[in-house]
Amino acid sequence: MPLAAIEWYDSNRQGFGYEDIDEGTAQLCIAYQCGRLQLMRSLQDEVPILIDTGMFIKAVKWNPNGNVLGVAGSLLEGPEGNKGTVQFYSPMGQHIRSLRVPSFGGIVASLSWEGYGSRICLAVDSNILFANIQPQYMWGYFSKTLVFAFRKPERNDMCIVFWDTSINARHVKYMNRL
Amino acid sequence: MINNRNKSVVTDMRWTPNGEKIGIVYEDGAVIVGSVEGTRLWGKELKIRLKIIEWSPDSRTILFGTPEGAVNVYDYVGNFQYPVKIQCLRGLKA
Repeated sequence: MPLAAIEWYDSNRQGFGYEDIDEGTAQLCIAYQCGRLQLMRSLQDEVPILIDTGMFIKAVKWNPNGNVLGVAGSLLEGPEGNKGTVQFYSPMGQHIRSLRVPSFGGIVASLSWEGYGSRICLAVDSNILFANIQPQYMWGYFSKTLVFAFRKPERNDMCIVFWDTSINARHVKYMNRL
Repeated sequence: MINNRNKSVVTDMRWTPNGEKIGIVYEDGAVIVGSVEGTRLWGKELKIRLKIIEWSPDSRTILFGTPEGAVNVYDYVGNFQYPVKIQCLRGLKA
């Protein structure tokens, strides 16, 4: 079976989300064009996570935190033929979301993550499409202050922003194991 | 560094995660590893056709993928170690 991609996420890279990564999360993805892929925790992983994406796979890419795998290609078995699609999986193998992409050719040829993992770039036909990712932020609201947390690419802890909307002032704190 | 082997085609190339080396694979099985300074570190003709190269996060292991779908593990100077066990294709007809 023809290979589509081999992507090995570098969890040792300085400043990335170590605390998200435990024994259950895979870093190595081996993907085949036929839509099957396996997620491995190590090279000798005897029980890799096996996924049938139902797609023709062109490219896979881990996001900068290593907690989302984007799979680009086309969805097979559509009533009107193939559809350009990106699917997102967690490193535990759970399907997070599917993104349909309008295209003439019916295929997403490549994808690339922005450094914060909050945008992706897709190669479709002769176009480059940009899409925003809306992760499930941890957030709260009290006395006109919005509190939300996100991860910065150069740090391995969480960045927490306290945004006082009444005076439009922001305070930033960093915290581990949020 | 300019490489022209005047035969075959480059199918994939990848920097190591630490950014020190680049691995280049040709369809006919040739591998070239170069340094970030532009020097050629080593080259080898593997006896298999090649499609994909990927480095391990510690940059000490190389994975080579063949057009037929096999994935083989080599060390960082190009010695064969073992094949990766592929389990996700079970139950598929060739």
